[in-house]
Amino acid sequence: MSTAAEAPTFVDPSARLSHRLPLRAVVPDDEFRVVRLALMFEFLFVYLWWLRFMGLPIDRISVAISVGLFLLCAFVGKSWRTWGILLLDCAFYCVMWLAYERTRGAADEGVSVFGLFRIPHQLQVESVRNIDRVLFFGHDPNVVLQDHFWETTVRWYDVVASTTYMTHFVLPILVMAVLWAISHRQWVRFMKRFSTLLAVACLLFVLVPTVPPWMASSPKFPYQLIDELHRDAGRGFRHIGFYGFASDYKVQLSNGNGYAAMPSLHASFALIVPAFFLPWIRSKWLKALALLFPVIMLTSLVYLAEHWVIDGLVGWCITGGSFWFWNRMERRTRVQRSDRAHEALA
Amino acid sequence: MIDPPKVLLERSFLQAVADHENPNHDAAATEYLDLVRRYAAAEILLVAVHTHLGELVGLDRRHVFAPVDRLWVGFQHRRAAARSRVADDPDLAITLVMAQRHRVRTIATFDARFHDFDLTVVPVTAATTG
Repeated sequence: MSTAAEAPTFVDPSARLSHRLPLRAVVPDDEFRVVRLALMFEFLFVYLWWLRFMGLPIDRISVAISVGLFLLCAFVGKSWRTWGILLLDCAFYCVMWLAYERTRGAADEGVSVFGLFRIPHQLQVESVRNIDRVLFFGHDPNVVLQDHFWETTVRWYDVVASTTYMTHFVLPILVMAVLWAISHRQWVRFMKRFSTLLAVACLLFVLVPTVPPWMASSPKFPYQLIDELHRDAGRGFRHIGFYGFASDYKVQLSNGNGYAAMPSLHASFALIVPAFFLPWIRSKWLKALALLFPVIMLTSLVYLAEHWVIDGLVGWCITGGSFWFWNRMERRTRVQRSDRAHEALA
Repeated sequence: MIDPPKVLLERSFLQAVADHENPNHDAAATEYLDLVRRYAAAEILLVAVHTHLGELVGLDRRHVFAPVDRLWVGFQHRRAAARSRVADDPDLAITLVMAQRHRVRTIATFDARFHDFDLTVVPVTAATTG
């Protein structure tokens, strides 16, 4: 091992403060930084144009293409190693969503576990409705909200509910893409929590397939547990001119699992984003405002007859559990590494 | 930025921590353990240029420097170093490039040359060579 064992000289750091050179004056700027910023703004402009005139890309392929294009813009001029890591990340990202899609499909008919045994398709119909009734003193929150607020004309709160509902298809992906671009460390932290949430949700989709309230009330299905509910989550969007959402949304639903109500990923995703950024928010008021978003989401889901209240609460619990677990694991890793350093120097 | 502030452990500091015979070892070890304590509290991130860590052969660096993340030097960093105002000293240039690219504001070093740049140098009262 080569070490510099020269005789030390003592230097007063304050004496040098006056003529310190900023690093930017010594090291040339990353010339690709400007290119990346320009491309990302261009992407944003095209995305917004697409959103306005073509609709929000919400099916997995369109989302993957848009995320891929954004990453191309954000990683131009980065090192080959960084690109290699990005490819590995992308592979993980794709596997995560494929697993999610596959599990959703499998949940419809029950699942065979390595051909050894089969997890039966035990549809939850009354149990979730009954839990909601216990929580709300004998009332059905979906029915109560629609009785009080649903009108034939679109009101301002329909726009709020619909907009909030649709953010589900954009917000977590947007956060992932931005974190990917600005801090790989934070992207990894976010994805640990996100993929854990998704994995537990998939498990529950298989173990506890649940009829959503719109289905439980529809005359097209044999349940009719509650009064018939209106189901049109996109009408608020159509009202403000975003027709693209509705048609793409129907395509999305045709491939989805209709019984994937428990837990609500809409509610979970609406919590995971503000919860992740909460440590960076200083103001208590802003924190409260950020946490209001998942509350508005759950209220919207119930109003739009997409979910029972308990679906959302379970989703929040899984999100909280994911944060608790990974916060603990990350703290443990830091402490273990510190202990190793202390022991080695002792 | 949303990451905790990064502290770059420069070559002279890494060598002083690793080598018990180094005249700066005690000061380096004391400073390093303080930095490690702050790392454990998630106040800072510890980073080092990967080639500097790679020089410490024969040392179980996974243990001593377990909390230290590597900053990988790529072709673009070497190119920027060659075009920098300190290009005649490739090692100093690479360290400064990595500090600039990774938004490092604090550097742990015993090399007096780093006092000439807009970086907070630790240990503040330590002996420096240069």
